[in-house]
Amino acid sequence: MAEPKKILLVDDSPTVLLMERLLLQDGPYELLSVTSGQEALETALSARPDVILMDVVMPGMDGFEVCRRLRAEEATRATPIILVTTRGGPEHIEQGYESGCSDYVTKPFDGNELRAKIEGLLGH
Amino acid sequence: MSRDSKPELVLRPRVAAALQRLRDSRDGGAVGVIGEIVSQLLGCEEHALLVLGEGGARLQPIAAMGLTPQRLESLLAPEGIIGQVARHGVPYLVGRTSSVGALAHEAGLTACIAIRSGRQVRGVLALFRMLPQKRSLTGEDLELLDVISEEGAPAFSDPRGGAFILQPPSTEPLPSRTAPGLRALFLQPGGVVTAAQPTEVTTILGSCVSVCLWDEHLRLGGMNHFLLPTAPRGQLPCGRHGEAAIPMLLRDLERLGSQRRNLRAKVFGGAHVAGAPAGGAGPTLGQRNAELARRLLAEAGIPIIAEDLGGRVGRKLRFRTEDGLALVKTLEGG
Repeated sequence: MAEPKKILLVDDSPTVLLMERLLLQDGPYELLSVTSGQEALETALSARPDVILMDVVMPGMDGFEVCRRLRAEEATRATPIILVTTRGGPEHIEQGYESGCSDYVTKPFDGNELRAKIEGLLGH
Repeated sequence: MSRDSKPELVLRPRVAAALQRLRDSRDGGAVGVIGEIVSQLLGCEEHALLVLGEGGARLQPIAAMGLTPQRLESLLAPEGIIGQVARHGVPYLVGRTSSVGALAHEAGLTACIAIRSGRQVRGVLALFRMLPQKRSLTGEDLELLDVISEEGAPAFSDPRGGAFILQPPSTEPLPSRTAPGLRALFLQPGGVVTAAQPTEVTTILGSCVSVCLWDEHLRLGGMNHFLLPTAPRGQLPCGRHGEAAIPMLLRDLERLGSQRRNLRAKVFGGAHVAGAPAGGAGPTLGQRNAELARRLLAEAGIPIIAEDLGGRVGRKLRFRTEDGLALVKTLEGG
């Protein structure tokens, strides 16, 4: 049996993290979650997730900055990162892609769509 | 919840998460949880949580976000719609219930619900402006509001106290999101736009695809922005799905007088920005979106005169409906 794919969930809202867990818990995934940009950076480099779902607005390092730093690291250069955020303005979406995200999803999101995007990035 | 429960009893993740978090915060933290549900799960950027004082003479603020102090103050007399909800407990939902009795300061009220302990109304939650990408309240949103109504009362005795993120008082009117006369607009994912007047439509694409259609005779056009080729099982197709977004765009242009034989298409997006190597286990989501666009346009007999599809970078697309000009800027990461 194939190893479950590892998904790193990053959000400073415990409610959002719980919702993402409930959404994905029945899939063939191992779920990790952290609540800050700094922890996201460290966990992404140590645990090497297959996909990262990351909030943008967080205290300390924001999701754009984490994205840029992960893209600068050889180990995470190609790791799919989906930014999941309330920031839906064109300038924010543009900034997201320029910081290296793979996809940009605005909150509140549709669970089926998010699952389809994750599966698409995992090559299912 | 047991896996053996009947399907109709299984709550959707958004509602289940809200319910569990509110139940877990009965001894503290309920104010913060309501704030998270409102901003993150419902997509509302201005709200007030108000407790009904002794005798119901006045409301007191417990938490608020996005409102100015003056605006918050104006909500505290139990009058207008908010007062009716506080007195009778019947929720107000814009477009679904009557707005008779609304006061001037209640302009922009999206919803107002009573929060109860048992049958007694303890206070209200008033939601004003929603995020720009949040167009209307769905059935699932109403379930979330029900959960807050039934489980939110511990917020009124939250030992961690209230939470206020207020806007500074404004001396100038806020700039309008869509200034009159300026024919430029940003198309959110899932949107479909057609314009008889010259308009520049901008959008940003990753794996999503936009089809731009232009009528060279009438010199008008339109654009969509879809996320998935087809609707996930159990969902009705809409503008978020290519199978609906392309027919919707065509239909809207035909309503403006376009004839199919005069339409020309330009298609953009469908990237695989990072992730599993393309070609590993079948087509990527971006490729499937692009294939659907090509197939439906071929079936409609509309020629594709330009396309920029696939690749591994996001794109910012600007499309002019007057002359069909499409400009693409690639968004390089790193």
